[in-house]
Formats: sequence, C-alpha cells, structure tokens
Amino acid sequence: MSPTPGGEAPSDAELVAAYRAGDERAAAELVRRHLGAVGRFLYASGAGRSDVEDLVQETFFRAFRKVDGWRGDAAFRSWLFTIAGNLLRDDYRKRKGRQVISIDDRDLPDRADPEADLVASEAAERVRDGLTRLPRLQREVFLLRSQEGREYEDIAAALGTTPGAARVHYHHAVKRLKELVR
Amino acid sequence: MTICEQLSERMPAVVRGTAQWTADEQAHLDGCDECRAEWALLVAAGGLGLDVAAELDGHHVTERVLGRLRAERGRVRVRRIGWAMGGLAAAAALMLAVATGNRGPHPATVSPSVAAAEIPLPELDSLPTPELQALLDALDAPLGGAVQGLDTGELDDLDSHELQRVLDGLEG
Repeated sequence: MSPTPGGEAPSDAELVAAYRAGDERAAAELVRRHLGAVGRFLYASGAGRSDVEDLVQETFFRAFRKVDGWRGDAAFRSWLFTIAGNLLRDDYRKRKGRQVISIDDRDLPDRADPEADLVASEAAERVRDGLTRLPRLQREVFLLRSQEGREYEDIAAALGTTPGAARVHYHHAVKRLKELVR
Repeated sequence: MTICEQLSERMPAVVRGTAQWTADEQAHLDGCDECRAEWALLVAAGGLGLDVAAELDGHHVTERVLGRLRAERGRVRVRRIGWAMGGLAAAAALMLAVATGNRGPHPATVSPSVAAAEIPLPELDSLPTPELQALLDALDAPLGGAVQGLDTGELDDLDSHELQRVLDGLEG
C-alpha cells in the first residue's frame, strides 16, 4: 500500500479497504501502526508481560477475520481495543479468574535514575493493579482517554454507549483509581 | 465548569503532549491536591506498558497473523470444494436412482427390431455380402412383390375355365 498521490500516508479506512480488496501489505501496515497501542492497552488491562505478544496477535487475527464489522463510526484503533478487551475477558475466564500478572512484570528496568524509576514504576504498577479492579467499561473508557486521548464521542462509538455515559464512566474510573492508588 | 473540571478534561491531551497548561491552570494544579492526584494518575497511566510495547516484534506478529489468515482462507476454500463435490455426488446419485427407477420392476418393452437383432442366426454369418443384401432387400420389399417368377399380367386375359385349368395344373 503506497502513500496517496498527495504524499500523505493512507488512512486506516483506506488500508482496511485495500485489505478487503486482497492487499496483504495493507494489513501489515495496520499491524505496524497499531501494534504498540494494542500491546499497551492489553498490558495496562492486566495481561501478563509474556502473554502480550500472543494476545496482540490474536487481536489482529480476529480483527482482520471480521473486518467487515468495522463500519468506521469509531476509530480503527478504538475498535481494536474493544476486540482486545473481549479477548482479555475470554482469556481471564479461561484461566478461571486467577490473577494474570506474571512475576517478571515486577522486574525493574536498569536506568540512569533507579530511585526515580522505582517511584514511577511503583506508581505505574499501582495504577495497573487498580485498573484490573475496575469494571470493564470504566477501565476501557479510562485507557482510551488517558493513553489514546480519545474524545468521548469516539469512545462511545467504540464501546457501544453514549458520550455522556462515557464521560461518567471516565470520572468514576478516575475517582476509584485515586482511592486505590493512594 | 469549575477549574478542576477544566483541568480534568484537558489532562489527557497535556499528558500526551498535544496541549500545554496555561499559566492559570498550572497555578491551580500546583495548589490543588485533588488535581495533583489526578495528574499523577494520568502520568502513571500514560507511561504504563510503553516498555512492553517497545519489545513487541511487529514483523513476527504480522507474519503470524497473515499466515493464520491465509491458512484459514485455505481451509474455507477446501470446505467449499468439499461441499461442491458432495453436492455433485448427491446429484449424480439422484440421477442414477431416477434412471434405475424408470426400468424398475416392470418388464422391459423391447422393440421387434431390437428383439430380432438379439436373436442369434449363425447361418447368416456364412453368407457373402451381396446375398445378405439381397435377403435384406427381399425382407424390406412389399409383400406382393415377394412372389417371384410369375407374370400375373398374362392371367388377366384368361377366362374362368382357363384359370381353373392353370390352378389345377399348379396343384398337380
């Protein structure tokens, strides 16, 4: 899939249309474009570090298999997040509800300022732990807004709710996380 | 909208670097515990999983996803061919059953020519072609023409007594 005549990178909608027409390079570009965000979303939602790559792969596989289900009313990435969320829920049920955070998730990276990193890492882990305790809709609204900067209209379209409800879910999530992280 | 709500609305964009605090907003943030707590939460969430995402092998994921999609398309194609072959086999079996059913338990009605063709006549095998042709011509000829060697035209001129004498002569 080459850039458009104007030199701009093709939009997600154009890549999806190209993939539907049989262009596998379009699928490869979509994976490249959204891989990291989907991985972060899965990890922040409680997936084990060692499971993230398999879950990302499964998310894209499911997305391309039912790509006709993406109607373009929500951003493609937001739609991917809903698939990833469903996948994580299925995976969680399969593991019969046991905590999916693996031991290596607590390993700290070797950086120049270990004390600051430790504080940041501990804060991040508390947030992550808090996120796993939230209702699914609150967690997904919070991540779509805090990590992706999505507007409530887009979040609502992706999650099948209203913008007003998405706003309420976000504020509930923030309030609850503040309590859990303190 | 209160200043706290205003900050809350703008925090995701500021955390992601797509917007900046105004001086008033920054001043409020510095003095508001609730806003600072929310800000710390957003900063932590914004950085969550960045290292995990960086470790993902995009090429590997792409190859595996595309490989699975190709394999699934192949399975669907094989399944469709299987269904088509099954359909053809069923149609052929149905046609065979209908054809067999037409013969069914009733005795076969065979035309006389077919019946004659099925009767073995070994004596005909020894005949040369011209004789066989003559025989076939004789069989095909009208019945009246089958009486050879008799000029029936001469008999028309005879009276009844003369005819009687001819008949008596033929019978011996």
